[in-house]
Amino acid sequence: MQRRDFIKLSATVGSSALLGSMLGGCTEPAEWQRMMNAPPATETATVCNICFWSCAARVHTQGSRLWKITGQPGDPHSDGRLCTRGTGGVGAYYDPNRLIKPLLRVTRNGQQRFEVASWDDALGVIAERLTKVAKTYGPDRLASLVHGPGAEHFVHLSRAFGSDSIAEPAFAQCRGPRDTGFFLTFGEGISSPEQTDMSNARCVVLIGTHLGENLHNSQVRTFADAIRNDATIITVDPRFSVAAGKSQHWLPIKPGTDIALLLAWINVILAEKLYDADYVARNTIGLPELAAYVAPFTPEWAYPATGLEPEAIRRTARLMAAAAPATVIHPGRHTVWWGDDTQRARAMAILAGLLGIWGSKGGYYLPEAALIPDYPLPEYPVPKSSWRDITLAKYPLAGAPVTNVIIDNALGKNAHYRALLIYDTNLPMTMPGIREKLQTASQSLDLIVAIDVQPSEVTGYADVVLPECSYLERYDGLRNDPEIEPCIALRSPALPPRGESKPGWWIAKEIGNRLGVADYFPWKDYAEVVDWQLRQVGSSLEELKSTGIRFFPRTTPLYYKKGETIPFKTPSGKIELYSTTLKDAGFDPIPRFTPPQEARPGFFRLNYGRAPQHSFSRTQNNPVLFQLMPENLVWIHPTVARQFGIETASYIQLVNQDGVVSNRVRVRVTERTRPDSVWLVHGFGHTAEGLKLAFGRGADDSALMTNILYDPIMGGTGMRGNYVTFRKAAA
Amino acid sequence: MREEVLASVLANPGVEPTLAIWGWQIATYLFLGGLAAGLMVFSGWTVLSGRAARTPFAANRAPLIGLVLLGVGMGTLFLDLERKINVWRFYAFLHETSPMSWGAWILILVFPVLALLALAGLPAGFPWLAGKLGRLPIIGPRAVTPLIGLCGRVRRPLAFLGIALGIGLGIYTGVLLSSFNARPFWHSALLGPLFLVSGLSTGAALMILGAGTKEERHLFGRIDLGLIVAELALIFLFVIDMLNGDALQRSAVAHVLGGSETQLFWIGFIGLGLAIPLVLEAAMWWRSMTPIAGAASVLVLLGGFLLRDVMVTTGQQTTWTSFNNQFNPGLLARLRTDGENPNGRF
Amino acid sequence: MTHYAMVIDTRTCIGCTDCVDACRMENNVPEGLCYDWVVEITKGRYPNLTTEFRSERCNHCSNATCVTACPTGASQYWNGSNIVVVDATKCTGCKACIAACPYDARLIMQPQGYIGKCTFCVQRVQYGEDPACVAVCPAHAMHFGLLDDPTSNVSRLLAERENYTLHPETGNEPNVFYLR
Ligand SMILES: Nc1nc2c(c(=O)[nH]1)N[C@H]1C(S)=C(S)[C@@H](COP(=O)(O)OP(=O)(O)OC[C@H]3O[C@@H](n4cnc5c(=O)[nH]c(N)nc54)[C@H](O)[C@@H]3O)O[C@H]1N2
Ligand SMILES: Nc1nc2c(c(=O)[nH]1)N[C@H]1C(S)=C(S)[C@@H](COP(=O)(O)OP(=O)(O)OC[C@H]3O[C@@H](n4cnc5c(=O)[nH]c(N)nc54)[C@H](O)[C@@H]3O)O[C@H]1N2
Ligand code: SF4
Ligand code: SF4
Ligand code: SF4
Ligand code: SF4
Ligand code: SF4
Ligand SMILES: [Mo]
Repeated sequence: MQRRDFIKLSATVGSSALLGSMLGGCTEPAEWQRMMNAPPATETATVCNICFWSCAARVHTQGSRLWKITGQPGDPHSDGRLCTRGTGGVGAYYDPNRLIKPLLRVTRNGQQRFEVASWDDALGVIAERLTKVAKTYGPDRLASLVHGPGAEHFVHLSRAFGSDSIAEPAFAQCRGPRDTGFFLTFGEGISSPEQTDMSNARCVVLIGTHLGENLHNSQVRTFADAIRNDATIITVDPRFSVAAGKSQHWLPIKPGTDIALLLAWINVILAEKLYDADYVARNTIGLPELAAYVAPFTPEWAYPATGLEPEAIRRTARLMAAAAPATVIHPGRHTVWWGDDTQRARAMAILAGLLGIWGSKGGYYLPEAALIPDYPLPEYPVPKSSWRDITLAKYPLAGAPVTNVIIDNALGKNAHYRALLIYDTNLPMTMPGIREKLQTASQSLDLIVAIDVQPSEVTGYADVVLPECSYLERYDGLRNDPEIEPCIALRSPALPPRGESKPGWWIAKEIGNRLGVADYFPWKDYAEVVDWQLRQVGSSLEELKSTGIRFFPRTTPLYYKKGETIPFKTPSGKIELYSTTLKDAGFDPIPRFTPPQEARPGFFRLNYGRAPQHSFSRTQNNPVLFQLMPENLVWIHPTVARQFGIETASYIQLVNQDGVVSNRVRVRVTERTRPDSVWLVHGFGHTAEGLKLAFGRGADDSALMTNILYDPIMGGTGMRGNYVTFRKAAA
Repeated sequence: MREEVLASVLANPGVEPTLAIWGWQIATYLFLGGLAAGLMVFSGWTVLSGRAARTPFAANRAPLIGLVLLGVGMGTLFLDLERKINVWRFYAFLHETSPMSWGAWILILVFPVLALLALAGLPAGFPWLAGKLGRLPIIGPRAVTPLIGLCGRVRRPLAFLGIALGIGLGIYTGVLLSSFNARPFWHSALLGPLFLVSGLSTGAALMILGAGTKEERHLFGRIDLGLIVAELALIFLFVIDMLNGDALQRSAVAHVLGGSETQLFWIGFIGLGLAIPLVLEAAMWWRSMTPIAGAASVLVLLGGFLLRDVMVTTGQQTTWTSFNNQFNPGLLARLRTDGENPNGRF
Repeated sequence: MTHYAMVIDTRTCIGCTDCVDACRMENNVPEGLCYDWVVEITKGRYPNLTTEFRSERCNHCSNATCVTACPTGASQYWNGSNIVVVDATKCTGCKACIAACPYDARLIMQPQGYIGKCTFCVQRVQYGEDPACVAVCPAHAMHFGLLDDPTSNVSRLLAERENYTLHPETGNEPNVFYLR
């Protein structure tokens, strides 16, 4: 039987079923019996794209049937094991709601709608309008909002065209504050995968980071290693997260007060001299300023703000210091919380700096990527205006383009940006508060192109919707992320593209050809590029197709030696406990704690995050993952539930501080959330009707985020300053 | 506080959210099987005890009716099978540890004995049918008539066999359920006797309904009265037994002590099916009136069915596991009934 | 008897349900059905809480009541081991085995009507591979192997770590063990 036949189950009573089982059933063996002698399946190398962790994987096909996807043995990201979502990648291929034809927005009888178009027509419209934009304003007026490994084709297209305004939500909606804070302290951001050496750690400190639910594959594996090794695990989280359940020390912090805790930890470590004085003297600057600054911030001081017992703060500070430098202060990943996020990241970095864990075994290892040369191509033109010109005026220390700045500069008649290219990002759910702005922008922009695999919310704003085939049906650039051991991985097509969908590289090339930048796309098939690159390093496409991955020897050490003076890339060449850069830009040189806004009575903090079964807003319609988690729940503490007369499994609506009402959402009354907060998994509550399974299921956290706390340093969209109350929903 | 939820959705139809693998088909089969067993036992008893002439219905007619009812019961049993084509597999194998297997084989033995008993009673019970069968072309005179004759001659040993198999069948219907350790509500040694007594009681009730003579009606009225008292005692013991059982059994019996099956159990089975007939049949002791007898028997039959129904339904819901879906399992129906063939779209 | 066991470490299990997912994919389990599931148990009051996750499935009981209850021999031990499988060519769909399983580990395959359940992935085990759920677990919380062999991974873990099985009182002698 075909697995994905969407068979009718409940409708099998009645005569036809009876007849069917009478005639068909007699000698038919069970699936396991069939498999006992089944011939081996064909295996194709790929890189998972259900999230950006990019695990190397093998696709098992039987003829034209996709059977399963498993991890590539030996791969440092997957270690031969895909996570729940990667395993469910099968559904990304079989999803009956996939986009399979280009769509053009047309107006007929005053009504707008999408009509199926030929690729030629769709690409023609794009080329025509972009050419007009380039002629009238300049090619730099094209902005691209992209995400994921496939984005590189469109980054390339955009730069070849003459624009460098290319932003990823990975910065202002995700890692921006962390990388900025660590950059300001160590002269380097944290890479992805995070270089946390949890397998060798004796102490792991998670501040928010909800590993387990946050299912980045090797993060979870190495976290499990730490548990197995009986490392001390300290989790700071207002919610009893999965990670909190694995910790000896769970600090149920009052939301938004992490800086107070961090300052208190630093206070204890300095006051009790729990740091390696020699290391700190050689590798840091600003210790006296820091010590003077944190002196008043004792655990007793932090207690009223954080709600954490001073004794617990002291004990955990001593534990992490005792284990140092085999201590992982996890830098976090989704760090856009309260608007003071760069400063929180700074506080974490300062703590990490004092403990001397940068480049230490069991702390932060030094990751290394393979050296793979770029395919030889002409230089990109210098854009007439750069993203920096616009962004840095607003956010002086933004190290990368900021999505919100781009959108803000696409509004109105005199907007800077005139055209928008969107690839692999579902802006309406990714950027809180963006729906109205997108709507406004769509009035002034000359063109919005959305390249997606399914009819997500974002496609509704586009003039042209281009159907990309899934990652299982295409080549992309080699995965070459910095790792413990440099390792590359190949994504190659295991199946032909469904319908008329096309690989991203093909789409980018076809647009490029039509824009007159064909020189930048000299290949017929992207496989040529990959093969060329591989041949430069003594391998070949042929080889990678069978091995999937390839390791390269390290050229630099994995850890610094003890006693080594480390060349940090900061202006001072040292770990900057005190940051002159921040001071000069008008910000606090050492993080300051400001208490977060309190909730109005009857309102509860909207806390949100991940569930292991889903990625952001991209998997809710995946029929395989839908089966594991078909809706999100709102977690409510029992006392609150009692107070509002709300019961487990009932459906309610959430109303936020500005009166925004959510979709109906099922209740889970649980002790695992704080009485002052509710918990919602991000990515549900889809409003795009084309997503037939996901449409109208659960509540969308983004829609409830109308109070955004922008980080003044780098422009991050702090999402945690929102509150909700409850409304009973009609059954 | 203790919270136990499923991290994924468990929605295997018939198994979750509550185990509901057996429906009216099995209840009906157990009821009809018990009834047929009762008919066999009493019919055999009237023959062996030389009462045949005074109990014409029981001796001559009941076996054929039992045969038909058992046939219907086997029919509903067949209806319940999810993979009907393999029904013959029941008879490719005797699995000595499987009550279901024993049941299948008991039926194979019961059926011919009951059929022969029916043939033996045919000339007296259904003369027109006997005549008709005897006139069938070729096999009529050559096979049927001699067979009927033969059955008449070996009627006593047949009756003896009938009693033995009837008791076996009657107990079996209870043992089938009580053998399931996995279902706390079924796991009681009292279930065999209870179902046997109930089967006998329903058998007696049918005898009252069909009674050919006043004496026959009286006889079975009294017998049934005794059986009802016995059944009430067994039910009482069963509930006490459960209440004194382990935690699982205590929570299992709660299904009929305030839980979802309470009304059906107390008002339906105990009230309508046992208590009222008890009063009615007691009344018959000194004044036999056909309408009272008829009402009593119908109620006993109803009670017999309700016992099986309550037992089958409740027992399935009682379990060692407790799965709590946190996500709405009903949502998966969207997948199953979607009916969309993904390949059809491309 | 070849005695296979699964040993699952509840300390490292993060409740991700990947085991459920991988089982569906490997075994072509029809839409909406599953052979395994993950239970989450939370005890206590905020902030004094514990949570345990447990990946559950058929226990491949040494004393399997589903096998004893089956009238046709369709439910059987595979190849002299404790792996319990259902031969669909013999199964009548009478459901006696479902009623007989104290762990509610069986289901009716739709629409074929035979009884489905976790097979310990015999199609993989026959080649010495781990079952799909064990092989996928991103936390490496699951282990599979032979209990007859005292040097096996599972034997060692059971010897070293405190462990339990589900409802041993059933007398079914379950063979899925949970490490505390
Ligand atoms: N399954 C799955 N895994 C994923 C993803 C996915 O989509 N699905 N996405 C990946 C990506 S890109 C990212 S960025 C990461 C995000 O995952 P993380 O980086 O782990 O996200 P956080 O926001 O740090 O974690 C959310 C946790 O913070 C807690 N929290 C809320 N407020 C506060 C507070 O004020 N202080 C503290 N200390 N804690 C607080 C919440 O209770 C929750 O447990 O996940 C990655 N992993
Ligand atoms: N409210 C709220 N907002 C958040 C977060 C949150 O927790 N809550 N998390 C933030 C974080 S940490 C991150 S990293 C971002 C993530 O934000 P996004 O990267 O926007 O993630 P998704 O919501 O999954 O949207 C991905 C889009 O890409 C499409 N897609 C999937 N695969 C492919 C493909 O192969 N090719 C193409 N062309 N398209 C594809 C999907 O259909 C979907 O429309 O969201 C951020 N925004
Ligand atoms: S972590 Fe999971 S979803 Fe992300 S790439 Fe790896 S397998 Fe895929
Ligand atoms: S895959 Fe492993 S970690 Fe995930 S739920 Fe299953 S046993 Fe637990
Ligand atoms: S768990 Fe249930 S199905 Fe599995 S062997 Fe034991 S009794 Fe049989
Ligand atoms: S349903 Fe199939 S496997 Fe189960 S007891 Fe009946 S015949 Fe045996
Ligand atoms: S052993 Fe195989 S069949 Fe059993 S739950 Fe694991 S993957 Fe499924
Ligand atoms: Mo992210």
